[in-house]
Amino acid sequence: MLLRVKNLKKSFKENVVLDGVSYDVEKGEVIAILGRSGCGKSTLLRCINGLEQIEGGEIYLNETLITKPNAKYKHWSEVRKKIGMVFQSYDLFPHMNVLNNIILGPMKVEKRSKADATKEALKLLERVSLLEKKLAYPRELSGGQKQRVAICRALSMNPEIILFDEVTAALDPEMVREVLDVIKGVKEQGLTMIVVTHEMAFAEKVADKIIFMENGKILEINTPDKFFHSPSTVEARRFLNLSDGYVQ
Amino acid sequence: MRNLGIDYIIKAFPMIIDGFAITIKISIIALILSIFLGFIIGVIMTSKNKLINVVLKILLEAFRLIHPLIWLFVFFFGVSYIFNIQTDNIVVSIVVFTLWGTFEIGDLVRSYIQSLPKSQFESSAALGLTKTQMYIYVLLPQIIIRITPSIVNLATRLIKTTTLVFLIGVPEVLKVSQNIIQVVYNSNPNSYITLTMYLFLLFLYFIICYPLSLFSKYLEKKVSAL
Repeated sequence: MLLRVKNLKKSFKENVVLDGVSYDVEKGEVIAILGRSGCGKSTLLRCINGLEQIEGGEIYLNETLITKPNAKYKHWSEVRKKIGMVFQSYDLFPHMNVLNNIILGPMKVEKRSKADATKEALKLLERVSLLEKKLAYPRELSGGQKQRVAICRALSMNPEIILFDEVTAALDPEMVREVLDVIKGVKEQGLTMIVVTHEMAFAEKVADKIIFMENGKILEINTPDKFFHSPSTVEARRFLNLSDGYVQ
Repeated sequence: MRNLGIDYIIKAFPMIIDGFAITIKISIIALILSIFLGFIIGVIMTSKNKLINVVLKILLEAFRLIHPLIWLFVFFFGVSYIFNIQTDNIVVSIVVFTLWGTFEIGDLVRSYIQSLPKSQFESSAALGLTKTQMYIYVLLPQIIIRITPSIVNLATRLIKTTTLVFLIGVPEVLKVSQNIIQVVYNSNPNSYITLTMYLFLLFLYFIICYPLSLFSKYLEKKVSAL
């Protein structure tokens, strides 16, 4: 079991955002987390790499407990070497060019040589068709290009699991496709991924398991086929009907 | 033609430049120390520790609200009184202006750090960078790029205000000029050397401060492209 989430609880002031969430992720699995805005899916992701502190429950990575109460930053920076994350707002470092954005992590965190890290980075850039932009600065790139670089940046650390937090939500429709293709490519490499997304068609094609959340609880876990065509919960049915009557 | 005293100025030129050199020397040393210490203080100011923040805030306001002139006197005579030694007026000048510059830059650094988008902290953290690495490779470079126009601005103000040190006896350019004017008046009471001298000083300050101001505008343009 690569990742085990047990009974996660999290509140922001009075709002209960995660209300006893549990699930498992096997190595090589791709999980899509779906749900309305505000149901807690982003928070769930951010708890896994410690960007949010949980108030109850446990998270195990490779059978090791990674959530400690009052964990210091140092503890999480060790854990984060194994967990990659790509954000909705790409968040590339604006003062560095594309190549340097990608090699910063491997060089400073994994202590790899510049030559080594650069070789890897160029390979990654080629896979996402951005090799010619290697010396460009983030401000010169389109949203889709920035997001593809952000994915390369996460991949360059060779993480065991990558978290994608609504990575196409801020993109124009034309760019959504190019980013989703890259994520499909990442899946083909056998990487374990948790993808929070609104793109239903994408989730159906790429995910091995769908987790459907509402109001901080997991209501349904199912295969894409079953979830999209015959969901077992009423709420899921309602949710899917609302997304352009996707359910036939 | 009334005597403008230009010949006196030409004769005394080396002395005037010596005086100006002291002004610039004090400013540059104070500026370099301020930048170095200011960044450290600025980063410390972003800590969540309430006590540190209150103490630093008080120090910051103390050096900002109270005119450097007063600090010059307080340090100069105060240190001499408390430690019973002859204080070096140039050292006191450098100390006072360094403290002033340090807290100004510190406050700027703090405010720039706090204005960086939270996402820069998060994406650095998500990469596994330690806090130190995050500051060195991601946050501070962005701050340095943004803060440089303000620092050049501070440099200009520093150079202008350093003149005050003549009040604790440092032979900087204003004091030297007044001495020369006095000497000339003794032999030539009708001389207009006062006017000429101050025009000359105006020119000296201008050729130092104007390029700095142009440099600052150039930097602002470059920074806004980020």
